[in-house]
Amino acid sequence: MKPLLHFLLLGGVFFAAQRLTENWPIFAGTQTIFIRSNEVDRLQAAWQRTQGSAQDAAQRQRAIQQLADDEILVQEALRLGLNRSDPVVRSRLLQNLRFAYPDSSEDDESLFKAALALGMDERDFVVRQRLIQRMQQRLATGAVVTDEALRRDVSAHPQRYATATRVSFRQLFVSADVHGSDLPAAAERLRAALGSDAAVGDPFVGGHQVEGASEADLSKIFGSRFAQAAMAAAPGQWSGPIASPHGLHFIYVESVLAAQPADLATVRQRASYAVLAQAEQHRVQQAMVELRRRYAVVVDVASGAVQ
Amino acid sequence: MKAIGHQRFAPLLALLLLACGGDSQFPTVPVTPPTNPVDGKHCRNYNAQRTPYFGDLHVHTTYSLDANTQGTLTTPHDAYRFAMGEPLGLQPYDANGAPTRFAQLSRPLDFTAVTDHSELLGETEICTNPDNAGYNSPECLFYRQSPDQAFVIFNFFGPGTDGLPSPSGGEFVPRLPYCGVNGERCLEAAKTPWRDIQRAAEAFYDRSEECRFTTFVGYEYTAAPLSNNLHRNVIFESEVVPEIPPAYQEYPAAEYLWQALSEQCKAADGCNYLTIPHNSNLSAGLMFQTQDDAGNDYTAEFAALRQQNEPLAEIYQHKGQSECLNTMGAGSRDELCGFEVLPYNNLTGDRFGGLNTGPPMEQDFLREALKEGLRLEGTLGVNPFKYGFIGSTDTHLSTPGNAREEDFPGHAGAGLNPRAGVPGLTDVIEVSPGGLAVLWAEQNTRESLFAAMRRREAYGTSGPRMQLRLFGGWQLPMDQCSRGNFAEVGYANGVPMGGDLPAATAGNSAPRFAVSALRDPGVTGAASERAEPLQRIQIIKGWVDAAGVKQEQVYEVAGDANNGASVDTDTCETSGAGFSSLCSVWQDPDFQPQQSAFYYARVVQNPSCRWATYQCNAAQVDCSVPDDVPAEYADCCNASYPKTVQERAWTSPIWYRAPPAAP
Repeated sequence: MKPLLHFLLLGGVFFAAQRLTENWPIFAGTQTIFIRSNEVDRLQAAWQRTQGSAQDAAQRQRAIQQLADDEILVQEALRLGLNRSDPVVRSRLLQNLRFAYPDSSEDDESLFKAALALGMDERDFVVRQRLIQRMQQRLATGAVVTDEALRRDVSAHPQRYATATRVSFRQLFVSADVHGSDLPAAAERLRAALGSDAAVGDPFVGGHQVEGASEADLSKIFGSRFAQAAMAAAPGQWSGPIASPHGLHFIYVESVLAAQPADLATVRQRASYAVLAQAEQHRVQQAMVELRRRYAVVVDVASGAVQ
Repeated sequence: MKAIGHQRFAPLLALLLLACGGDSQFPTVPVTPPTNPVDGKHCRNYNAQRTPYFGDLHVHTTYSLDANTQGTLTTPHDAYRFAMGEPLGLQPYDANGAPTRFAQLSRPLDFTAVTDHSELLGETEICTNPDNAGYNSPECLFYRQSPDQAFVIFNFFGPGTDGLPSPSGGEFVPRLPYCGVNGERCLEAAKTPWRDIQRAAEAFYDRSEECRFTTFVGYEYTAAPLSNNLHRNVIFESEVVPEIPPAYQEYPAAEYLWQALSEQCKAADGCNYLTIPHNSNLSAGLMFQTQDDAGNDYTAEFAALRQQNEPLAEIYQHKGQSECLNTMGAGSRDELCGFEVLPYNNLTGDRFGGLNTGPPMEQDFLREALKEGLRLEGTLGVNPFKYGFIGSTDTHLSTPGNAREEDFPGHAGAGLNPRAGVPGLTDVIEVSPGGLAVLWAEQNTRESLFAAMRRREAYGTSGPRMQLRLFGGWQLPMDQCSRGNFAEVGYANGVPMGGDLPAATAGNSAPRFAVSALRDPGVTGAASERAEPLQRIQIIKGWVDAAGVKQEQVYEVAGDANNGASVDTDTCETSGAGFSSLCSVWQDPDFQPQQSAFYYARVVQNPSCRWATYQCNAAQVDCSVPDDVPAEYADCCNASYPKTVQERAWTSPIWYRAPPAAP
């Protein structure tokens, strides 16, 4: 019974391993990297499926480079011995062998060595991805958020960090619902009375006093055209009528709070998250340019050699 | 096996028994009033009379399994960037990982909560993060190779599985095998995205006096026994949140979730929360059932627990409205209940040709639940279903607030939509672009917005940004609309939406309700966004009559239902007059002091094209020649779905509670 169980389990493992690794390059132990043409074809098919057209030569080349970059990172990780020191790699390989040999009395160290001897660290999908990620982390290490980069990012995103011009005003309203086609004439009558007790507009359910509103705040109530005009109105006098989807408005701007560029000290913590993420990505890209020089990439014979 | 429920609540029960005193006639279980003090005046546009802030409290990103299986790679950071008005690239992605579609709001939101599914958060992370030991498990291989099928299976055997009894007498839902024994591996894995979600919320919350944008840390509790939807969005007031979001597998009923939250999120530590149920329309009769998980009838303390934890419910989103169904009883008088009704009663939908689902059920809709709440209040003394309303999107594309009919990119999740890249309608015909949550708050801070949620001074819209107010009181002046200070008068003489009418004093014959609506001004210019004028305001009253029968009445209070507004469905051009604003003070003509009741307002716009009509017109689909209609546009000619919609908003109700009958 047990040998049969082992046989079935091992068969399953080999089958799974074969399925998993059949698309991966054969390693020659040199600085040359081989990319299988069927892997390139797989990416081509995926592209065709989602885009409805075939990849052009440049797109195909980029797809190959993507596969090559992964392989370069794996090879670099092996060169640095990360496969022997990384706890996730170790636990994954042990898990594989414990699954394959559930009754084995071997200790972890022996099983781990056996897995390495089998070359499982180069083929297991999880281990490969772990090694790639470890390498990317190493390459990204040292990325710093400089004041210069922070300043650049903050000034490049005023919509996130800067403060807006804000106005406070009171308004007199002439309702389009109430006056219909008489709206312009009603507004003229109100204009003539501005500044006097006779200047009484229609009730506006949004209120007649607006405090500390930005252009965006005003757009929400009055629409964007009104908001632009209100921001441009001179303080200390009546302006208008200004049109909105609700009717016509006379506004008396009482105060203006000028816009301020973003204050780095205030937004430093928030902006640092974004800048650090960008800096790390850039550092990895730079390092990859250097690494690619050390490897030749060959797409296997069926597709013809590339590079 | 389910004794867990009341054992856990024993201390609470004792407290409540003390509080109940000896009033056997009408047990009163106090529902603690909101205890979150609103922060001081902080923002430059602070408004003591309150401002409506527009947002989305239901947003999924790549950390949700169902979004991830649909190819969504965008993160919580991306969702918040999008909500603030920045453009966002959408799937499908090209070979460089560059997006092939883009979306951008024509006006930013004021607040957003990213609410990824907690239950599958761990599983998704395991399958997509190579650092996780389960990455190459057979389940994950299957998931990556066949995401469509994986969605159904994962959900059916994950959150979709009913709680199973365990030998020890507790209750658990088994996780998938790759979660390891007792799900510990999944819990460990969930820490990473949960932390990332928190970091993104911190990165985009504007704590300066500018108060441009507010984020909330949140997640979705994904309870769906046998695909019957009992989901809740959990929203936290501050950055103090539980280390791991309590999930359905560990807490397989809402009361266990609330218990876990009360233990892991204590106000004394600065942690406050509330839960918002959504899509009760897809709960197959479960969302508002009147028994707890153990099968016991509601008690006063249980009702109080529910009311305390859930001040709000989502009334509308991608997967339809949950206001009213219009199929039975008095509801059949309300033709506006036909708006965006999904034709099935749970999350299975049409996926298995109608197996495991049925037609929608009246009891799953909020109007009916509010009436049931009044009925239970009559016997228990506490109303368990005291819900205010919000809308949201439930986007699975990380695109909060993207609720316009004109450019609906699809729900892109829950396995309902066609695969990305396939031409045709961007989603199945029955879903829709979802809506917005609106909160009346003094300023745009977490504290102020959260307090608004707690007191239910909130409303939902089907996408447009109309400004809607409702006050109730005994002495609101009949000329409140013509006074220049509508809100000030309302607060001084009444309670806002979400509140309780105070007890009537001598000489007050019937309560009055002051309601005002200001149209969405839309957006002009390059990034234009069309908005229709208002058509009318209604007040919906619900009550239970002396015979115990649930009743409702829809009153027209402002505007004109027959204003002649129309839309040409071939061009989507609208015509006819509407209103820029509507306002009315209405007094209940049928008021019965001995009948508890609720009142909420509904404002509707003039009609406009439904999302699919825009897409069908753009594709020049001609339904008069059926053979020429491409299969992917077949639903353009599906007569079961209207070509137009009347966009709308729903206020939270105001409740009147009848005094206890004389002994």
